[in-house]
Amino acid sequence: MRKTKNSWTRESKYILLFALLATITTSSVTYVTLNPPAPERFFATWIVGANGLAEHYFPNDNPNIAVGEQVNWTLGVYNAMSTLEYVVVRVKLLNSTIASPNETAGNPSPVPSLFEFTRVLLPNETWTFPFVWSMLNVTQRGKLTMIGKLSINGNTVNGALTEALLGMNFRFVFELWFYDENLNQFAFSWTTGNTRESAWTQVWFNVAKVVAP
Amino acid sequence: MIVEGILLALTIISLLGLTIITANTQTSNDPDSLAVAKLQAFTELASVYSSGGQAPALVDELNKALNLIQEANIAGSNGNAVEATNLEDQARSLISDVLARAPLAQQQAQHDAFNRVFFAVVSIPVIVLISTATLYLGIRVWSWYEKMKFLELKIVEKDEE
Repeated sequence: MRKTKNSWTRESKYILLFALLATITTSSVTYVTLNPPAPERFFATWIVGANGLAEHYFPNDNPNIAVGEQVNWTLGVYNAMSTLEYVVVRVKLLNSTIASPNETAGNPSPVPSLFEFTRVLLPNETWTFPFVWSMLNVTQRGKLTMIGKLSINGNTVNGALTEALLGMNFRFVFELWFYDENLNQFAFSWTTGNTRESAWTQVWFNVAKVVAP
Repeated sequence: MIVEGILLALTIISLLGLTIITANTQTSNDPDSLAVAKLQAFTELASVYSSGGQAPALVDELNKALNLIQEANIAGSNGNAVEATNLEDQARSLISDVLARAPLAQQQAQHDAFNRVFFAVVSIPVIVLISTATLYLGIRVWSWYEKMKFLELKIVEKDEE
């Protein structure tokens, strides 16, 4: 009887120790499951050519675009912020002397946008949309070439848009802005760790020589 | 005299009410109010997702409204005010629907989040109990097996004697 009691006490100790270890392990696993480590948060943007690849951005692979010539691109945005995001892709037309967006400071390019694409993106959603454009009006003033009218996805954009020397080095800049609920406004950059990050992309092109009327 | 006074007071109240209603109607048809409404709709849906819930149908509806707003802006800038107003009205209707359905989605998300935590917490003692009981039974079975073996040896020894 004494032996059985001793044996039971020893077994009880092992069982209690096991139960304790099982409780700690299960609790830890449950905690990690309910509070997973925050993944890296970012947006990504890209442009692909007419065939859906990072090539053939221009008709006949010629970046000298003539008035009325149609160019087909596809823009893409990926939301890796792990939350619902309200994003705006702001399209800007720049030349080589206008400042690009500053990634270090998190500042956008200092020109107004010509056109905007908006969408609410689900977590981990990829959004692609066509960007079909052509120049409808280009004027020459001395050595300066000015784009005065554009067609973007069938919509006409008017105004003295941008000028460049000899029609060289124009560029479309696509900036990704997102609605910041804390600031209650759209923001261009976000902070990951201690670094500011932003998402933008660009494609350079030239205006083919304008023939004087 | 008293009756006239009451009638005058009622007329003033009616006029005030009409003014307020008109002002509200004008505000709700204002493009600025549409801009506020779309942000409010987004904020409501964002809170659904941040609670761990999902509302893809409402997000889809909001995206349709955003497209309509963009089309309305383009129509407006091209001087087509009638089409712009029509598109804005359609967008407003979609956003109103999203705003009306968002609280239910939020409740559902909170309910789901509570259930997730509840089942996770309840699963801890259940797993511990099952695993401990399995260990206990294992030990009992093993000791019973050893006892049987011991008895068997004893019987064999007795037989040999």
